[in-house]
Amino acid sequence: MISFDVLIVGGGGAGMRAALEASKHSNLKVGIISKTSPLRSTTGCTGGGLNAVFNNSDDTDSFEKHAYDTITGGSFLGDQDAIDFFVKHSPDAITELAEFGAPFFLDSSGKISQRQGPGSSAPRTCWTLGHATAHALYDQLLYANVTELSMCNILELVVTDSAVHGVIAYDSLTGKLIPIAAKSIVIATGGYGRVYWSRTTTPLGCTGDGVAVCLNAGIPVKDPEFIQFHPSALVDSGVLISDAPRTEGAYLLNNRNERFMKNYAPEQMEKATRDLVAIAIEKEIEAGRGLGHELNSHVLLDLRHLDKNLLHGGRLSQTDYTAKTFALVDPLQSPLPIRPSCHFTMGGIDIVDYHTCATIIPGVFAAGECACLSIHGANRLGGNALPEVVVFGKVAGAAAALFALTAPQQYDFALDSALQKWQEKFKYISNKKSSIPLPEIRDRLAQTLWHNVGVIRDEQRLNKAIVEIDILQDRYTQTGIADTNHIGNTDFIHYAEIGNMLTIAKALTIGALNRRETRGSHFRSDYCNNDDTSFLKHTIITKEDNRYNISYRPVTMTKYLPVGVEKYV
Amino acid sequence: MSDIIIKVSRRNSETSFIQEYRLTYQPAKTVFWWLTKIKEEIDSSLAFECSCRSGLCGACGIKLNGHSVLACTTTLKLPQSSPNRTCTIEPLNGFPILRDLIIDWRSITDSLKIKSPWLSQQPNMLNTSIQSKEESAHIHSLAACMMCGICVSECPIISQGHFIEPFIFVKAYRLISDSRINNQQRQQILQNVQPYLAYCIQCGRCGNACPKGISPAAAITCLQQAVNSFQQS
Ligand SMILES: Cc1cc2nc3c(=O)[nH]c(=O)nc-3n(C[C@H](O)[C@H](O)[C@H](O)COP(=O)(O)OP(=O)(O)OC[C@H]3O[C@@H](n4cnc5c(N)ncnc54)[C@H](O)[C@@H]3O)c2cc1C
Ligand code: SF4
Ligand code: SF4
Ligand code: FES
Repeated sequence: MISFDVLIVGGGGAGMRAALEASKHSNLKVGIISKTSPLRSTTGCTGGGLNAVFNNSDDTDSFEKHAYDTITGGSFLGDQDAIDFFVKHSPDAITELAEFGAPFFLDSSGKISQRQGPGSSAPRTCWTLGHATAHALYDQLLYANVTELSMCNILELVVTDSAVHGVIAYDSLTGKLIPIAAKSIVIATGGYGRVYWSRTTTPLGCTGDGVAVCLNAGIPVKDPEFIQFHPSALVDSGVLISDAPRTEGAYLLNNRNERFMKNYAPEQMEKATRDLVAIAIEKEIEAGRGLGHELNSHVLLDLRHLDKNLLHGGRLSQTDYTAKTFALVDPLQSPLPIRPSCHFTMGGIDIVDYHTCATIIPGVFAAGECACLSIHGANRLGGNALPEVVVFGKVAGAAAALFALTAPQQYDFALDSALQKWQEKFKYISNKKSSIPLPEIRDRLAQTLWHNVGVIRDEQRLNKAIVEIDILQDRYTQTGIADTNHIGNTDFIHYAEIGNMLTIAKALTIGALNRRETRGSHFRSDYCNNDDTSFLKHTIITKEDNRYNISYRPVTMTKYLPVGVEKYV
Repeated sequence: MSDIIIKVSRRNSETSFIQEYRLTYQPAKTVFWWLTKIKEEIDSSLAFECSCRSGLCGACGIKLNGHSVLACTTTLKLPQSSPNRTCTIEPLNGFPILRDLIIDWRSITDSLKIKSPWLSQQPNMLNTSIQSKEESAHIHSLAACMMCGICVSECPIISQGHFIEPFIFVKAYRLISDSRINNQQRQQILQNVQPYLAYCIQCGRCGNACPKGISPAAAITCLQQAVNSFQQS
């Protein structure tokens, strides 16, 4: 049996940073498994913005300001002690990335240039290339004493009586279902944006596997209902169109050729906040003023009146490239079909101690987008995710190593029986003819969530979603896979992913249904304001067999009290 | 609408073969879109890899009609010239294949550990002392490499067995261009890549195909010049 002292599950920024930290103990055997090569993780295809207080462009910026922006951006749902820790550690984490070789954009004096992002009170975002964080960490991983197994997927976290034994994984390369024993485990599998399938900007693998396996193993998920929607992604492919064109003066048009933002934010118009723009677009579409149908409904982003030089080599070159490559549209000739898309998932595996990234199961830690500390609260500031990933990846790796140093080696009937269960399952589903194709379940789930648990939510829709998810969960048990090969069975991987997405979808919908208020990214048209008396608290959802239980936990507030009723649409 | 025949090279642990799929042609769809369509509507056993589907991560390199490209950024055009409207999709050259179109990156990692010339250096070799804007721009243009492997697939020398992946030279050049590393480190990197430089025939195919506009061939020339000037001094 493969065994490690510390096993890292997930090779994005959080996983790689955790592995590097754990491997500093040369007497520990550290392994990292990931579904795709670490270079292809979300961390390998970001916008490349990272927030930290360096005072390179503004002497007056401070940890307090970064913390306060993060807290207000998250509508006071973030835990202030964790946020304080985060902002103080972010500069070192970014300096370290630069030392590892991530090339940051510099100012004329040769220091990292910092720009002001939306929701930030100072120029604080450091920019590097979008894939650079992943590549810098990967270069270090090659040096480190870490066994890297990419193309290896976690299927189950094996826990009995609050003791962790290891995981069951599918190794795509050998085609085997394998048990991996470990004394401690860091889950770092990224977000679950793909529950909305085609309506997300995230990579194909963001199916929340780690969150689901934790839920199945008895570890709660925190605040799953908080989903960040970016207002503009290409309607067909979900490829992100950044805020830049709106910042530069692009128009949003409905099917009557109206700049509809005048009805939602007459002063800011297209430059209104992401939340507001996303809600406005969805309202237009619901009122029948969109173009296209169903998941293809959209509005138009019009750049035709903008200066040509902005697009050709200027600040909108990336938009120009994206439009031409993925929508086959020249933005100077015709407007772009866009719609909001899920961009980031604030909720995740419930972390009970931010000093260690521990979960409620001793020896199981989690970091990165799959985890909820919570730093981002009800919404995330652009540029806060990547530093979170490296700061807390390091914390989790160190804590997992410490745990492994003193944990006894267990042997392991629990793994054997879990393995047997998966082997039987594989046999069963590969002999089974599906009554409904797997992708259809996935697409129906996405459609259900988009319409009922998307940008605009209310009691009736959320109840409807619960019913539909139950039906889909039932259908799922009747599906099988057509690919009977053992090696490289992407059909089987997708089968597992869809199961995980169904598991999370239910938790997310229950969280949204019970949160009878509007806060941050969670917009309830039947409860339009935030309700601090009843809901300034974290949603905690656990799952036992197929029963989901909801409870709440207070938010940690150290310095700042909420501002009262916030104005939403 | 006319039909199109997409021939895909399939490989599993037992056999390899070419499979033909006939579909109704639609304009303006990427190779990734077509592969997904085949997988979800005709044959779910087809295995390929894509992650970001936006040209950023480098996961989806394949060969379309013999040319190495990214599946997610390349539009499939109706092959007018071909009488039977056929196009072919194969895995990249120069890599071990895991299944169908999927490259085995795990083995690549292992070989990178052995081959990567600069890895004998200590980590953290880049201290953050300040750097000029011009130098930083130069480094950015090289650091744009996402290790998609397209240059490897296009390189005619790789199959001979004693060359190394062209993107490794891009990384080596990026490192020696960095004013923050010292001369000893620079020399060490050059020593490590030097044995391979002469195998390159400067055909330029790597750079012509690179989706990020990088020229490994030019990097190789610059490394050779740096080796020469080190030897002289
Ligand atoms: C288009 C886009 C642009 C962004 N831009 C920015 C930005 O500019 N600034 C910023 O701060 N944030 C940005 N973000 C957010 C940020 O990139 C992510 O939150 C962050 O990269 C997540 O890192 P991670 O390590 O937690 O997970 P990921 O990078 O997603 O890595 C997850 C890893 O887990 C593996 N994995 C998944 N499932 C399994 C399984 N079952 N078994 C084994 N392994 C598994 C994956 O293969 C992957 O290696 C952006 C996000 C997107 C989508
Ligand atoms: S040099 Fe270009 S083609 Fe080669 S791996 Fe890098 S990005 Fe790909
Ligand atoms: S120029 Fe050199 S490295 Fe590039 S493809 Fe030709 S032989 Fe290979
Ligand atoms: S899937 Fe990332 S580059 Fe094509």
